[in-house]
Amino acid sequence: MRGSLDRWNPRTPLAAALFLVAASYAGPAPWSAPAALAVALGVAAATGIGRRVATLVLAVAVPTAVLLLVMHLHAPSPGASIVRPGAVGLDRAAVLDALGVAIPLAAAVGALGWIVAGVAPRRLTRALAERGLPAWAAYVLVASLEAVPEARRRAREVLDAQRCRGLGVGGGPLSRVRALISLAGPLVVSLVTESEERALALDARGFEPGGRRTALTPVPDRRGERTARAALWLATALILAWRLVAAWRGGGGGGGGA
Amino acid sequence: MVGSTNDTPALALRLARVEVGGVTALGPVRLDVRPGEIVGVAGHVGAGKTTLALAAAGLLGRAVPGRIDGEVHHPLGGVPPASYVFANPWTQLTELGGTVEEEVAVGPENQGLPPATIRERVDAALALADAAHLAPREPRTLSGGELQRVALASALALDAPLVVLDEPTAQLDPDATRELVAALGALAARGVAVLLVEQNLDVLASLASRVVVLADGAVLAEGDPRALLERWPPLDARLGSVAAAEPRGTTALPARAAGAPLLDVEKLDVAYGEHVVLRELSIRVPRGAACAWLGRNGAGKSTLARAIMGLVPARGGTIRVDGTRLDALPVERRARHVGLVFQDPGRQLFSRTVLEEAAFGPRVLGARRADAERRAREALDVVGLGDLERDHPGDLAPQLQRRLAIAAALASGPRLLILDEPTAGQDAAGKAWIGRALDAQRERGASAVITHDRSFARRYCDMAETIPLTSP
Repeated sequence: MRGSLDRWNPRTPLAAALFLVAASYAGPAPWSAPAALAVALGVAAATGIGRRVATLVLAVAVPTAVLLLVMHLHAPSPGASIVRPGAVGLDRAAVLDALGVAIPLAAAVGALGWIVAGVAPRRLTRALAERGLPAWAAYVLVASLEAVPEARRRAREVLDAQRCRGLGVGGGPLSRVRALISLAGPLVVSLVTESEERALALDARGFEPGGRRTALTPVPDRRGERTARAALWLATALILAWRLVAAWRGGGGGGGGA
Repeated sequence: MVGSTNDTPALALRLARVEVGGVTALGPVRLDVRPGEIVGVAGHVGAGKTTLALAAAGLLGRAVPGRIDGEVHHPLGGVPPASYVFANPWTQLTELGGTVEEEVAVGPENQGLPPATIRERVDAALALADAAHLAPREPRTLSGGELQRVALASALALDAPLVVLDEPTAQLDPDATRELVAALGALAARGVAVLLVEQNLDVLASLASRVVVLADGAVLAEGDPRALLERWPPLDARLGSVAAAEPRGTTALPARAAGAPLLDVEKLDVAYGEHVVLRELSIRVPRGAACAWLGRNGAGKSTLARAIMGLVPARGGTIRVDGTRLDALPVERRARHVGLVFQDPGRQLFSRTVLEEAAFGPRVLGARRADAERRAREALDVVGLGDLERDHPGDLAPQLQRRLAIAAALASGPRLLILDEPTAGQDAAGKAWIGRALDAQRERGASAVITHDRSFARRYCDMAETIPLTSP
C-alpha cells in the first residue's frame, strides 16, 4: 500500500521532502530539526504510511545515536555526568552531540521515507522524465528504489526452491544461520544474473541511456501543486541562503540540528 | 513502420563465423528476410539457433557478449531495426512498467513517442498478441504462457521492420499457439519481416515460406519446410516435432486411469487476492502413473503444483499424497513426499556443481554424504547428465538446467514428482531423457506433468487431466 501521497504528482512530495531535509540540517537550531522530524512523521501518519516511515527512521536514527553515545563513553568529571554505568559515564555534551546528529538524520530519513514508502518508483521516474530526466538516470532511480523489494523477492524465490528440497528455515538460531548461509551465495548470484537479464531486456526494447523517454500516461500536475512546489523550492533556497550568509558572518544562527 | 519495397530486405545476414564465450557457435550463414516474409530457423538444442537470432536482431556483440565475423545489415533502418522475443518469458520484463499495459509501452516510451501514439501502439500490439484482457494485470502474477504473449506484444509495440522470435510457442497452450500463428500471419501480411526460431515444425510448416535448418552451428538444409520434411523424414525426428512423436500405446490419453490414488486433491480453492485461480478442484493421480495436466495458459496448472507443495496457501480443500495429508505441513516437510520442478528451473538451482545440486535434497533430508552423492549420481544418469557432475549449474544450457532440476528432485526420492512444462525448449533427445525420468518415477510412486506438449503427453504419459479455466 502506497498511501494517499501517491495521488499527488510525485514531484510535490519530493520537493516537500527536500525542503524538510534542508530545514533539518540548515535551519535555525535547536528547533528546526525536531520540528522537521515531527512534520515528517505527522504527514506520514496522515497519509497512511506512518508505520513504514517510522520503521525506517528508527532503523537509521537509533543505531546512529547509540553508536555515537558508545563512542562518547568515558570517565567524566562527577559534576558533568548524567549517566554513570560503573567506571565510565556520559556527560550532557555527549548526549547533546548524539542527538544533534541523530535528530536531523531522523528528520531527513523520515522526509525521504515519504518517497520510498509513499510514491510508486515508476510514477516518480515518469514525472521526472517529463522534466527532462535522462533515461539512464530514470532507470538508476527505479532500480535503487526497487532494490530492496527486488532482493527480498529473489530471496523468497531461492528460499522456496531450497524449502522444496527439504531445507527447514524455522527452528533454533543454528538452523536459521545455516539457512542464511545457504541463501546468501545463490541470492547474490541470482541478483547479478537478473541484472544482466534486465539489461538485455532493456536493450531489446530500444533503451538508450542518454535518450529522453516519454510516457504512456503523463502524470497529472494540478495548478495548486505547481504553486505549492514553487513555494517549497523558494523556501528551500531561502533556508540554504540564510545558512550560507550565517556561516559567512561567522557562525551566527547555529544551524545544524538540536 | 519504415517505408519499403519488397526487394529491399529487412535483414541481410552474411556471417562467416560467430564466437560466443571463445567457442565457435555458428559457422557460415547467409540469410535475407524481406518485408512480409516469414523465415523459419530449426535445429536441435545447441545447433546455434539462438545465436543466429541474436545476431539477426543486432543484439549479439552489443547486449550479449560475442564476436561476429561477418556483416549484419538492416537496410530498412528503424529505431530499433529489429524487435526480439526471447524464449524465456521470465527474463524479458524490463520492470519499468508496473502493469502489462505499462510494460508493453516501455518500447514506444524509449522511442520518445507522444502519448497518443504510444496508446495506439500499445492497444494494437496487445490486440494482435491476444493479450488485451491482461492489460491491467501485474506482469509478475502472470503464467508463463500469458507472459509470453506480453513479450510478443512488447516486441510488436516497437513497430520495427523485423521481428525475431526465439521459440515463442514453448510456453503456449495449443489454442494460444494457433492464435500466435494467426498473429504472425497477420503481421507478415502488414509487411513486417519475421525470423522465427521454432522447434515445432508444424508451426513452421504452416507459416514459413523458407526454413533454415541448423546442426552443430552449420546450415544443414534450407528451403520450403514441407518439402524439407518430405524429403528428409529423419530431420523431423531429430528436431522433436509432433509428427515425429509416435505414441507408445494410444493416440488419445484416457482422462482417468484405474488404480489407487497416490495424489488425491479434493475441492481445492486457491486465490491470489481477489483473483480466484482454482475453485473446488478435485484431481487424482494413480500410483505407478504419469499423468499429464493440460489446460489453457492461466488455468492454474502451476498454481495447483505450488499449492500441493505448499508455496501458495490454499483457502480450502484437502491434499493427500500416499495417504498422508499435506495441507497442514510446511513446505520442507512436504518435500519428503513431493518433488516439484519449477517452470523456470534456472531459478531453482543454487549449488556450485551439478553433483552438489542433485545431492542437496538427500543431504538436507538426512542422508549421509556418500549416500546422497550415490543417489544424486543415479538421478543424473537417468536424465543423461552423468558426465557433467563437476560443471557449474549456471553454465548449463537452459534445457540441461531443466533436466538437472528434474534429477535434483528425483534424487530426494519423492512419492510424487511434479514437472512444470518440462519439455519447453527440449529437442527429441531431451524429451526422451525426461521420459526416462517418468519411467524411473513410476516404480516409486507417480508423476504429474504440466504440459502443453500433447505429443510428449501421448508418448510418455499414461493419462491426462484438463485443468479448467476458472476465470478468463
